[in-house]
Amino acid sequence: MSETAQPSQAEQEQKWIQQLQNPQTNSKERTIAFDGIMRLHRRAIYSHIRKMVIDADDTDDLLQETFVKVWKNIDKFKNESKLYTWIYRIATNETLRFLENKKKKQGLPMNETSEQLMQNLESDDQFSGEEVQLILQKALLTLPDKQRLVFNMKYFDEMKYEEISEIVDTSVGALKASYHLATKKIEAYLKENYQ
Amino acid sequence: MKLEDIPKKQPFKMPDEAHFDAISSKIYAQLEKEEKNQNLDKEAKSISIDSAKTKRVAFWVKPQFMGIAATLILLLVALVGIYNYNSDTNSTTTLAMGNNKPQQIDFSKITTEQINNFLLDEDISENELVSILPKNSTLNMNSVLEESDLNSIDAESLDLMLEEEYL
Repeated sequence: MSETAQPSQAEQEQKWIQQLQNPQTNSKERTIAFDGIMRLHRRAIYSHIRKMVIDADDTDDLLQETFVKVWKNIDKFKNESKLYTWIYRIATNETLRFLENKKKKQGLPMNETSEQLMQNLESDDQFSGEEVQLILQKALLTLPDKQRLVFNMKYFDEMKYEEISEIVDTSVGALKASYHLATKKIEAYLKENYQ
Repeated sequence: MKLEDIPKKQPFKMPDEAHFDAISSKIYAQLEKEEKNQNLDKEAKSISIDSAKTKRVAFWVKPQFMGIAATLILLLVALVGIYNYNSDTNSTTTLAMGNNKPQQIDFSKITTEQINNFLLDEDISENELVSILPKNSTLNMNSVLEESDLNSIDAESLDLMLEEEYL
């Protein structure tokens, strides 16, 4: 979960946003403000992307692309939502686009793409879970990308449906249904593959 | 097995701060590069606009335009020349058309007195006159000279006549 929950951090973040949005802020101050925002959110965003793309190098590239977009579009951020929700949204869009392009490039059907990701997962030395965690991840890889995304945000990141709704631009009801369906699919997979 | 039975845990180890700092450096490098490219694009645009202006100015002196202009001038001169030539030819033709037959002097109508006067005025001898006449001249054909009194004038008389004339 994002570290913005602490009030002092939230105030500091607001100050950085104002500095970045103020055209009179000099480049040094802008860099300091942007660096502060990156440090505050980069771990959460990294984890969010990593769970979706699995590959570490792809995650690094997408994290970089996400923050480049944050820098370029910070003027468009209106304080109607929290900054981390906005950054999550950028990261999510970048990630879904990346996965879509990867499938198109490889020209593989979804189940074969999932198998490839499972192989990557098994050989990943940064995978921290036990056997059951690995099977859970494999079960997740059988889900459609958007359903997997919703499940990750709800289950691992413990986000509220309202927040997820802002990020993926889907109604809360639809998200609840999606999460419920994903849970059922995962449990069925676990029943079949884990004793 | 239910989902609740699995201990909740982030599936991937988080990289260390150095890894994230390296990514931050890449982000700044990318932003710097993009800014430079943007500036270059702006400069290129500016140069392109300047070039377009130069082109507009240069149009009046560029070789193609000069070539076309020179060709048109030459064509105009040639047309004027042809027009003038045609005008002259037409007037000549008109003149010629007006006098369909070539003008030929009918020596038979020239009186002996006129010939004598001509010879005296022009200080020319009879032989010289004959030598300059065309062989098929009507003067010869009509044998005007043969009938002329000039044949009867001897050299002495002619000298006298000339002396009188020039005194």
